[in-house]
Amino acid sequence: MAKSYPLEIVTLKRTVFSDNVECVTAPGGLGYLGILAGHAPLLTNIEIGMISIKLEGKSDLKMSVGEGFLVVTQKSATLLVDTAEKKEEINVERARASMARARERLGTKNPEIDIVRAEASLRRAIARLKLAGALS
Amino acid sequence: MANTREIRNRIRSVKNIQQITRAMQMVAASKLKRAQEMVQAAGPYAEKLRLLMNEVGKSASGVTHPLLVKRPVERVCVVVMTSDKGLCGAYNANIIKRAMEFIKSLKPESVRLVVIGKKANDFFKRRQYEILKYWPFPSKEVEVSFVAEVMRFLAGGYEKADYDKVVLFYTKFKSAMVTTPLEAQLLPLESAEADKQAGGSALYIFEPTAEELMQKLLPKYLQNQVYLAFVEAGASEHGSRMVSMKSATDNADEMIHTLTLNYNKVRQASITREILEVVTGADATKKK
Repeated sequence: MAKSYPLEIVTLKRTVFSDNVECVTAPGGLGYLGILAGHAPLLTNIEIGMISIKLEGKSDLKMSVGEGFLVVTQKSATLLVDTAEKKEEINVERARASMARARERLGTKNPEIDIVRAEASLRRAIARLKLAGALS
Repeated sequence: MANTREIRNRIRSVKNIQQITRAMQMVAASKLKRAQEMVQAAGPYAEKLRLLMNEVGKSASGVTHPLLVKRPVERVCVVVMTSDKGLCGAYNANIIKRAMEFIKSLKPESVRLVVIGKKANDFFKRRQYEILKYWPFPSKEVEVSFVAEVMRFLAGGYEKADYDKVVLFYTKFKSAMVTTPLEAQLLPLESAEADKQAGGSALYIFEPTAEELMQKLLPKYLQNQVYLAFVEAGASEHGSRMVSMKSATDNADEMIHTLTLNYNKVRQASITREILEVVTGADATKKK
């Protein structure tokens, strides 16, 4: 059995997860990365996307996350993110609506539209819908 | 002295008001509890973010970021955070008073006003102030997307040099009894290098680089500041409302007490008078 280490996921609002895990996979600034026990200390930013947590003897836990940071120290790891949601917490209707809105915004080519923002919003919606299994 | 019917009506109406204030007190108490939990739950993120900034700051000295740039202060963006609803004692008056003192110390043309909460909006509109932007205070939970919107607006204006300083007026929550109106500088961000003691903990691997991480950290830090102000202000509002509604309820109790006393006195007086009339009437007929 792989060694485990404590992982904490803290959002702007509250601590959503705190437990021993074997591995966490997250979308880092330079691409997806997996952290096992005994990883070298690391600081990186986290992109909008999906994280996957491997718990001891249980099936993987997946969450959609917003922008944030990952801090790995000798003994533990901490994820600081805007938002983090489990599959059952996702509001599919809302994510669908915001995906449609973002697509529409990106499609209009209106110079007043903040493309970076619209893209981020689209990525968030897609990450949520993917996790909820509602992406056709 | 008023007659009994009038007093009875008074008592009834005071009792009705008391029922309302008591209900509002109870609602505020339960909302306060939730808001207090929000304040506490926000603690870990704020603390960890600060630690992270320190850590990155040690390795990323001399970062330049639009939110760190200090300019000679000509125009100041004043953000005033109040509630949407009234009946919460001096909560709104206190914060507006504090903000007004600050605004009056500046040249009128150098003030850029951003108001959050209907009460502040009404106040400044009535006084013909120009309001740059108005948001109502979120009535339910403070959403991350809303905080991000506020943050982007403030940061955007600062980057475009529409103003050279952003000062936020909000109410800090200590307990339901103690809430203090506060003035906090949001921008420019006080450099994270303040806490730069002998570093040497460059053990971390930075991905991509410490400098680039700092660029991402700074807006998040600002966002966190704004979020904390929102939850604290929300808790303060409910705390103030609970306290003022409690004193209103107690006051009503006292009023009912004195009115009841008065009522009994008047009633007794009229009974005595009636008896007296009967007795004197009887006496008069007997003597005949």
